[in-house]
Parts: sequence; C-alpha cells; structure tokens
Amino acid sequence: MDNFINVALPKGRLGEKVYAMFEASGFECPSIKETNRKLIFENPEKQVRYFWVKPSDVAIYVERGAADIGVAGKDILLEYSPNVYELLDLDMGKCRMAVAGKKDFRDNGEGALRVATKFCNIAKKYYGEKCREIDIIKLNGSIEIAPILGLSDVIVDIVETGTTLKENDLVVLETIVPISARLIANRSSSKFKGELIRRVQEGLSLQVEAKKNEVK
Amino acid sequence: MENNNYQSKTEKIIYDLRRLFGGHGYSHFNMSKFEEYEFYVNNKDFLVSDNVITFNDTDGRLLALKPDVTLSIVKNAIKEKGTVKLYYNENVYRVSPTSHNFKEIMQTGLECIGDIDSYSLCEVMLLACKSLDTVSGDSILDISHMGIISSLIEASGANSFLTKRMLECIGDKNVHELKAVFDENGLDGDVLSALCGLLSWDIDISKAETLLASYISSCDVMKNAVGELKTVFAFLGENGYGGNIKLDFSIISDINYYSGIVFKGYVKNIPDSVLSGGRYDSLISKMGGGNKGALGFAVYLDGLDRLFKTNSGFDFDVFLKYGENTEPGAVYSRIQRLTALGKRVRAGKQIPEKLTFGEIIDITEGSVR
Repeated sequence: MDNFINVALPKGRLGEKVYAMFEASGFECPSIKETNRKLIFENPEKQVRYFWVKPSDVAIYVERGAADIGVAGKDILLEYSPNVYELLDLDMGKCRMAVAGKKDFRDNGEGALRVATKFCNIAKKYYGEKCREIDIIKLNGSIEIAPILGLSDVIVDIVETGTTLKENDLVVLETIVPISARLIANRSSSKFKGELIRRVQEGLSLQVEAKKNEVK
Repeated sequence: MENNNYQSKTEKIIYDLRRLFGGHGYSHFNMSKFEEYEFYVNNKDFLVSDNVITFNDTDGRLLALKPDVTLSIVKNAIKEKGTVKLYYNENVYRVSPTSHNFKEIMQTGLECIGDIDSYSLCEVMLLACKSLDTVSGDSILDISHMGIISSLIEASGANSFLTKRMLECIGDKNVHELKAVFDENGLDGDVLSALCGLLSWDIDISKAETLLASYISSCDVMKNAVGELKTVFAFLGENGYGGNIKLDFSIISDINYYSGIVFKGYVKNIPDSVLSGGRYDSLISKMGGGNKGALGFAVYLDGLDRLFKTNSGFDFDVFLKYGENTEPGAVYSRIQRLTALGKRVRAGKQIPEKLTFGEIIDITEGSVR
C-alpha cells in the first residue's frame, strides 16, 4: 500500500463528470485528459492515482482494496451488497429502479409473477417484502422486449427518462428506489488513508451542496 | 536460513498466538470437524451466513462442516461452573462474501465465558491488540459498543423494520441515507445528530461522551457503555496501544446477540478485517447459559497471503543434480551437509521446469560442478 489514494472511476460520461469534481476538490491529474488508451493515471504531487473501470466493476475494485475509493451507482450497491462504506450521494447519474410492463398489465396476484431483470437480488428483495411470489428470469440486456414477447409479465430495470420504455409501449408500474452515483470506500483503506479519503469526501460534499443550493 | 514463505509465516503467527493465549491462562479447545446440522439451524441468526455444507453420516444423521467455532465452545462452556477461558485454532467452512463460493477459512481465537469483570474485559482487548501485533506492526483495532447504538436507536422511536435500515446505514457510514430514514419517518432529530456525530471521522472518547451527555444521565445502559469504553481505552493506552485503537461506531454486530463492546482489527495492505470480536451475552442467555457473560474474538488467517506474498526469492536454495550411477548414500550425505547449513535442497536427475533455485550443484558421476 503506497501513500497514494487509488480511485476507481466508471468509464463513460458519468466518470468524466465525477473526475471534474475530483479535480475541483484539488485532486487533479492532468494526464487523464490526454487522448490515449491508457487506463491508469497518477499525479504524485497530489498523491492520487485514477483508473477507468467498467462501471459495474467499480465496487469490486474497492471492496478488494485494488482501489481505496470509487464511484458506483446505487443499483450496483443494492444488487451486489459489496462490503464497502458508502460515504456520499453525489446527486449525479440520477434515475430510478422501477417495475415496468405493458400499459394494460395488471397483477391480479394469482400465480407467480414472471419478472425479467438484470437485477435479481433487487427484484427478489422488493417482491419478498411484499410477500409476492415471483419467477425471476435473469437477462443481461434489452430487458424491455421481455414482456412484449411474452417472456415475462413485468421487468425490473433502471429507468432514466422513460423514453426506451415509451418507444416499446411499456410504462412504469411502480418505482422501487431512486438511484444515483455514490462515493464508496474500502473499509481497511479508510483506517490507513483516512485523512486523504476524508479530504476527498469533504471536497465532493461541498460541491454537491453548492449545486443543490443553486437549484433552489 | 529463514523460510520466508506464506505458509511458514502463518505457522509462526499461529504458534505465537498459541503462546500468547496460553500465557494468559487460556486452555486449548480442540473441536471435532462436524456438528449436527440441527445445532446450526437452531442458532442460524448467529452465523455469518445461512449457507452450511451438510452431509449424511453413516448412521443417517445430518451433519455439517462447521461454519463457526464460538457456538460449539458456548454449547460446552455454559455447562461449566466458574469462568471458562478457551482458545482454538480451527478451520471453518463458509461462503466467501466476495467469490460467493464455499471456502475453508483458517481461524484462531479465544472465548472467555462466565464472569466478565473489568479486568477480564481489558485483558481480552489487550490480547486482541497483541494478536494484531503478531500479524503486523501496522494495524488498527476499531472499537464500538452495541449498548450505545441500540440505546440511541431505541430512543429514536424506530420500529424493527426501521431499526434494520438504520443499522445498515450506520454499518456503511451511510449518513445521507440515515438522514433520509429519520426525515421520512419523523424520528427524533437529536438522536440523528448524535449518530451523525458518532460516525464522524474525528470521533474520540471525549467527543463521544459530550455527544451522548444527555443520554448518559438518563440511561444506565448508555452510562455503563461509555464507562466501559473509557476503561478499555485508558487501559490499552497505558499498555502502549493508544496509537493503534480507534472508536468506530460503524462496527455493527447482530443486536440480538451482541450487547456490549464490539471490535474489528485491520492490518495495512489487507482489504478486509483480520480480527473480529465482541461481547455476546445475549447468545449465552438464548442457549440457556443464564446470566453468564461472554466475550471473545477470532483472527482470520486466510487473508494474510497478501501480506506475505513476495515475488523475490527462490523456491529452494539448491538443486542437487545426480546421475543414474550416483550412489544414494553420496546424494544423501551431500544433502545432510547442505541442510546443516540451513539450506533448502531438492535432489533430482533433472531440474524441474517450474521451480527456481539459488544454485545448482551437480554431483553426477562423482564430479562437483
């Protein structure tokens, strides 16, 4: 373990926005903006090292200590329950986890409800709390076509604007939970690099609060 | 020459911990590999995970490869008169939270069951600190008290569903969602302030006492809990561990079993805790042990490979090459001379491809090259 703070950023637009927040907090790393295929960038002056990872893998890097901190969606945290601290809601990448189905679908409570989803644990927990029997159909993508083709009664998936659902004649039937990007930290790293992690958390928190106040 | 590999370092830690625990009056507890599955079903809430490896014995009984040691020790200890002090070195079988597969986990630890007075508490905490020391000098012991957390949650007016939510948030240092739980359910704002304060980065005994002042004066559980923490921190500080201990109220153990002090130990460069323990009087009571106290901890040895893994060094110091006609006595005589010098020697006719050696000594046909 060196004295750098290792940060796992999700590849993509969200990761770029998150990096901008880190930069504004004083953890800049200019080389990350160079156009190349590198995945690891460091700035020894600021004791920070960034790496781009697949968004759904950020929590794994943090949980296993390859990264000290990272930014992951609440959907991933709810689905995989990684053993990490959840230090801050960045109020970005906002969407919701929802149950969606055909416009005219009504759950009459009879038999097992067929639910197609990538998020099996979230779906099981949601319907478990309602004591509703379900048949989970695990899919990896294009979940929206499942109810159209009769594979499932409903889907549990992330909904952002709702455009994809609308274009496939589906509607949101129930909202399960709001989703957004969260700052997470490895528990052990928090003991030995606590001061650095604290500075990151405080720097990001100030920006989140400032943005909320702007909106008001 | 010292063998620096992971296995020998782990063996040394186990040996050092045995001496440490034995030196403080703990007797060795040797347990069987299997227990009746029903035993774990009846106490499944205490287990880290519901998943248990089971099999049928030859007489038809359903047995389990043990997922836990404490339950077995308690089952025996509650029948004893007086205070029982036991240590163990056992393998348990659990589902890994990261790989989600069953794993054999090497675990060593101790349990103190009976009259847990102030000295007994301090001794166990000191042994926890010393146990971390045997693993690495760069370690931290985080300490909390379930009496404080459960009293605050009770004061908030939360029902059992909200209690579970709150404990999850506290355990994850998820202050923003904790605030949402309080706001959405109209729970006591003063309790929220206290909890947020306890979860802050710079919490210490003095700040905790100030935050909890109003609760200490009106709640004996809170008063005793804070008192215990102060005693433990003072004792550990006096014994040289002041810089290695920290208050961390995010350590949450099952509120149905753990009623008092709880703690976790971390070592630099290992991403998970390597030590976990606490006061579990409620389990003793549930298992018919009356009002006996119980306190213990376990050190998990399977994660230590990250600490000891090294890419440098050779698998063996010497490869001793002999030929078809070399006398066995000549080979062994040479091996004896080399091992007497502390060298690790592998003898053979051909150098194995996947092993590395510090030097090669060729005694083929009597010559030495």
